[in-house]
Amino acid sequence: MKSILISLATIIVLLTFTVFQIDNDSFMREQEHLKRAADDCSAAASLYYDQEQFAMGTKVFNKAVGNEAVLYLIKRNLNLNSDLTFDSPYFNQAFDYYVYYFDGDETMTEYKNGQLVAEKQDAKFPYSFREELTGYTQEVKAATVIVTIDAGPFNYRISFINDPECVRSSGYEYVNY
Amino acid sequence: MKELIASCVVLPLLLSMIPQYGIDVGNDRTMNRVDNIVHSAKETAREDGCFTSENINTMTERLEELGFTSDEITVTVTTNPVYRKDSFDEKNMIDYSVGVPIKKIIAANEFFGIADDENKMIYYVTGSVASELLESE
Repeated sequence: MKSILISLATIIVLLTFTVFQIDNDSFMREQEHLKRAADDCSAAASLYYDQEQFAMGTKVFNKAVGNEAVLYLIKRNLNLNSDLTFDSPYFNQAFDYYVYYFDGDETMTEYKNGQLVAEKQDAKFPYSFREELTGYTQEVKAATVIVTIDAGPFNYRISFINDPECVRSSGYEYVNY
Repeated sequence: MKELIASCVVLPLLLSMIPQYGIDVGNDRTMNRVDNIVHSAKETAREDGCFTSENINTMTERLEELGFTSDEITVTVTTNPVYRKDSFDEKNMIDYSVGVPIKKIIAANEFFGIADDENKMIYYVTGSVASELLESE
């Protein structure tokens, strides 16, 4: 009887390790997916800019078109529903995304889920940018688009583990040579 | 005798856990490497405007090094050049979908009554990327 009880306890411990291993691997993989999606979104958003301003020597991003591209790529590359939720037991809230445009005319614009959140007119380069959600800091020296995707807490199935936040950020910068 | 019977009950359960670690580590490593390979090919496709045959062959060769045969790898990608535009259009994106089989998920599937056909899946890496190829005038 004692050996059965000890063995059952061992099985429970091994099961806990197995479930944690699977969940942790999934978390690391989702982080990488978020990073790549943020890469693609920032690269895409940086492709659309005002041609007339560019001809004058200043890169000013077309935010409306850029946000449209970001929304499409987030949904497509992360397999999200139209309301930005993900059909997975690991996530139970809609994803949020933030887009930061640093224009060549020293304007910084912040969007959250496609809605304008903040606009700063005097963002001279080099601009010390700090992303509040991730603590990510960067010296922005040229026209840049930074995209942050926040998937919310990642639900580990082991109840005593604090669910970590699954959020990644990426930027695309145009440097004049 | 009593302990032998007790061992016969718990030993298969305990033994099924050990190879499960190996399979989980192997599957995770495979999926990560597939992600990296497809991501790398996608970055090349971004500059080319599409997945060229050379890019697809390189990607397939790298996937085959992971132990897959060419028949097992499904590749559905944009092969006609897509050009960079000033306005966003979903049709002007380079689409990709690469699938590889994960042949075993549960190590001791027969012990738990899971058929071999149910114990496998196809891991897909899908998405789109904006083209950076300028249309030559």
